[in-house]
Amino acid sequence: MSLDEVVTGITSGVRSAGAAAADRLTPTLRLGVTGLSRSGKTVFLTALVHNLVHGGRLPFFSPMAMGRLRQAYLTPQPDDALPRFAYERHLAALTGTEPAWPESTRHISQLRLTIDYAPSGIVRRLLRPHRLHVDIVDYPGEWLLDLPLLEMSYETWARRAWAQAEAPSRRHASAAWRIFAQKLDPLAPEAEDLAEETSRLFTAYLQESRKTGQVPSVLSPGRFLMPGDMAGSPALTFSPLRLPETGTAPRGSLWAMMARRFQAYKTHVVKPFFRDHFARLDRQIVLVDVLSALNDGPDAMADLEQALTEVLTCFRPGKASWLSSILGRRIDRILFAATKADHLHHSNHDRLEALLAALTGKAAARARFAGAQVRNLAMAAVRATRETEVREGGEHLPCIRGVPEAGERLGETVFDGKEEVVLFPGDLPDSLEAAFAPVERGKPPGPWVKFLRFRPPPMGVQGQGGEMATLPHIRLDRALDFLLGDYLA
Amino acid sequence: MSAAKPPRERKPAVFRPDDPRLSAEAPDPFAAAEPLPSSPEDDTHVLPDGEPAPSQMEDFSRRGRKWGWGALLLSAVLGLTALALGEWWARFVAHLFAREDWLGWLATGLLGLAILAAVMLAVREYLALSRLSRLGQLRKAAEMALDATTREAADGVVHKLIGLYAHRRDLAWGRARLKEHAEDIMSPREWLILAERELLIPLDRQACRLIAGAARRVSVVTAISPLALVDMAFVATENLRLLRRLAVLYGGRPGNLGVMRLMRMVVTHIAVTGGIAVGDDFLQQIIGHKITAKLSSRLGEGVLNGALTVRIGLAALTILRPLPHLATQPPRMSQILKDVVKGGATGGEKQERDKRR
Repeated sequence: MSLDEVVTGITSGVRSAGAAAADRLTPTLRLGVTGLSRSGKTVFLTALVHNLVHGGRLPFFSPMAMGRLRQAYLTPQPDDALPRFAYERHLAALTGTEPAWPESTRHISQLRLTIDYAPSGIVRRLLRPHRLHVDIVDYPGEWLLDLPLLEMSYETWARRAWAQAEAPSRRHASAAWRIFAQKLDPLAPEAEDLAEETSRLFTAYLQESRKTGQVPSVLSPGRFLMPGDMAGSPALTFSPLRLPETGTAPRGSLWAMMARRFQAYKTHVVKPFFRDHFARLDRQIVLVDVLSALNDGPDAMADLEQALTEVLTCFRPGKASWLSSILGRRIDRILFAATKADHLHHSNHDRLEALLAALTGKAAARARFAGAQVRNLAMAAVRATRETEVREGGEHLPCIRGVPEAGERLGETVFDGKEEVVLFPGDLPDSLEAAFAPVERGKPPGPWVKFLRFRPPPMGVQGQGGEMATLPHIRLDRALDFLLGDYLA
Repeated sequence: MSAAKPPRERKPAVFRPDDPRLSAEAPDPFAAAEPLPSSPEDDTHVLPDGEPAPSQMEDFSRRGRKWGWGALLLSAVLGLTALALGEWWARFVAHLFAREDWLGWLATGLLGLAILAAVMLAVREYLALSRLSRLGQLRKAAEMALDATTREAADGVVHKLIGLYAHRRDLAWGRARLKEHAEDIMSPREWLILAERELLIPLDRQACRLIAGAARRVSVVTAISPLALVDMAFVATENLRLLRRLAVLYGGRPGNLGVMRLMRMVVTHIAVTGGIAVGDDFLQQIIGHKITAKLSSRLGEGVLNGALTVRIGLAALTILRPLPHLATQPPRMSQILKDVVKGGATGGEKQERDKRR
């Protein structure tokens, strides 16, 4: 080995060590993207990365508006054990010749975005690194529903789940399982085959009610819908039983077996997920699909409200929550975003934000009390429609224009997914009470608001200059500014 | 929100894109980017027939005048004078005609020219006044548009702003960016904030420089001028010049009357807001003046006059700015005074540079 090689080896070693050290020193922001399933997490992430990387139109993202954002790019993620967020695949789906929404998330994944920027002010420029890592984690929305289970015993859970299965909106889907489970005696000795059968029927019921478009209930263990690699393990083989009003589980009974497995589910599935993921968040965005719930009527709204309230109790940074030990008070900003605002004319966005604020009010108040900043926003990560107006009978109807998904229907009309239409979606209720009201007044809620699902906007129309056009959005820049802006000051 | 509330519930409906009921494709504020109306008809607001200004004293329209004995006296006397002049004129012309025909025609022609020139002057002043009043109207429209549910009103304001500054090449980038974002922005407030950022903030910066420059000149001249009369005249002209330049900067292009009216409004503004300002910066200024005056009375006067110029400039800025301050803070006196002192220290060359800007 010549001296030259030794020197080169040493210098390159020093250099890479230096680079590693610099990488360690770079501040990291962990952004939590939370939302029930179908609230648009994947689309939000894809649009966020795309707009930052390609320098989209973000006039209210202050670092970009001030011209201090040098570049943003994807870098290898820190956790080697997690799959990478398939950004390229999702983007290809969105911007292909036949644009389609990315498929829903089936497992947890991670992505690291690195932003080079110029800090504002001389002192900051001297003292602070000019780079920020943003770590983003995507996971199935169903998993979020496990959060409330942590504070429930098996008995509480079973009784509430049973009551919910008997509710009118779910009675039909749950019939097969209820008939079977009715016959099971909780006090009988444990039996694996019975447990397997009831669990299978219970899962089928959950999947059925999900298929009919209902907001998933907070009482459904998320992994029953998205089992991942734990399918078939005892921790996923249980169901609620028809429990007696009082008493405790006798040793060796079916009841005890179910309770044990419920505990195992919490220990082996729920806790690790929240410990590894939620514990280290700095910022949180909660995506809520208010419009779909409105579409499905007051029952769905009530479900959504309950789900949100229960899920968001776990964000409580106060002392009473066990989460406070790991969640701590690190989350200092929470953004509640009503997604799919592009399904509405902008004159209704105020009401959408007001509805969202009413839905998340309690959780927001708690977070504020704990010192976190909270904001509500009506946004659309990808804007699929344009606005227009229709004059009818001396009235101006604020409308939107886009291509509805194939199979969407309004009254008699069924759309083929190819033709562009102009839709007047109705007027949003101006308060939460009004949103719940139609049923009480005995009026069918259906005809007054109707939101169609639209296909993603065709791309490439705008990119005349040869450069790639960025995805259009509504208020994504506001969201980014709230979530990242001060880290890039 | 209640205004936008529909009288009855409206059913969701779907239309074909080629439906005739579909009004012109998305309200694009730039599709018909015609220049601002500058004909007097559009600005009937400023006619001195006196609709009282609804909100602030900064409004450019005049207050309503009440009928009084004084007015009666004035009109009677004016009528008499006009009669006398007419009589005298008629006799004068008749006399000229009697002497020589061509003398009479010459006099008549000269009179025609004089009348034409007077009318043209009046029209010009009138247009200038209406240009000035447009700024105030724009700001009022913007204030109304801010809290509207839809973007329509804000669209109108931004459209007018762009028209107002269409001739300014230094704002070309801002205009282009605004147009680029026209489709993206949803809420009227955000839309106006963006317009403020792209069009007005550069202008504000220039305005502050103008004010600082004027204040500097005023203080220096006051401090060194040998005659009180000279510096009084200088302060007056410099302040009027500052007002004119500020008005031009914000798109007012005032005539002589316009500047006078602006001056009057500035004085009113200072009188009204004076109480607040004394608590703020002006007090320090007075104290500073006392201290400087101990060193040299002339220097103290210079500082005081400079500060006064800054106050006048800032008041004019508030009045002239076609949008309220949305995402920005109004410039403060201390900020500008810092500029004045900085420029003053390095002497004349910086002043020159400021002028060139």
